Amino acid sequence: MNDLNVKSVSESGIEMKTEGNTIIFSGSINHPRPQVFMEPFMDAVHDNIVEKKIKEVNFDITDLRFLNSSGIREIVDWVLKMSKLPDSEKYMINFICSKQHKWQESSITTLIYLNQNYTNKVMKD
Amino acid sequence: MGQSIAIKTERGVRLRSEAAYLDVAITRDWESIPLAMEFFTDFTILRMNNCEDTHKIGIAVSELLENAVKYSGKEIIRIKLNKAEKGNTITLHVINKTNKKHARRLIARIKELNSIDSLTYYIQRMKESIKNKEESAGLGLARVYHETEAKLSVRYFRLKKLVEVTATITLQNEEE
Repeated sequence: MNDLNVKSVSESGIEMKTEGNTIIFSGSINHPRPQVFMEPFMDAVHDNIVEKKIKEVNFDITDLRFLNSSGIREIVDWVLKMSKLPDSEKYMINFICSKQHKWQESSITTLIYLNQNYTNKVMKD
Repeated sequence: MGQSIAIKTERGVRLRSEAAYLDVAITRDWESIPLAMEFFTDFTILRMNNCEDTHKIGIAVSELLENAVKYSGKEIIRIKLNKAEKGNTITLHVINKTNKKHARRLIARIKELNSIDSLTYYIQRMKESIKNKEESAGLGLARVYHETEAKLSVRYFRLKKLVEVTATITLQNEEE
């Protein structure tokens, strides 16, 4: 199976885990230095995707109530890391967002500008 | 004139509310930020119940307070909200003590962002922010500028060593 296999993280009011080809964040990220726990997790996700030659992943943030700008930086880092891969190794990231958390519309729309060919936003009710 | 309330919480947040005005003092404590963010957002929802983008106030409160907590001294941080008598314009003021070096950097950054369109600036800051992760992301102001469409300004009171960042945000009516 080409499923993601990354150890789940539960830290400072946020849970980060993978299920199949979906990365799931829930809770709220207000931490002053979220890179302490987000960076190792996102690096492991990226390495796992490349190693298993996965071409498309979902990033489900429908239960993520808030993400501060330091947390946004970690997602930026991930998207740009993917963008630097050779074309044959690049993978599609589908951001699965919720209309209930209105910050997601504006924040994710901007993130997509970083790589419009390999990122996509899906809004759910 | 609306009813005034004054609350002192265990986390050191003091709240004072009149008709469409808030004046809050928080301790230099990271845990006060989500509390203040929620309070200001709820206040805005209650006062402007026909607006669909009240979350913008939460984003602005959170990011401006994060900056203030990072760069202020030990003193309290003051955050004020004013709603214009007519229309949907809200003005947030965040006031904190800081040193001259940080105040100059803040003034330069706000001058820089006001000279460029918000999306270009935000993307630029996103790319810059990952170059040195030991430093602050520096994304907060760019986020407020773009995602809340705020007009940002800053004043430094040299003698008192106080810096005041002002964000003026116009919310949209649901039917618009």
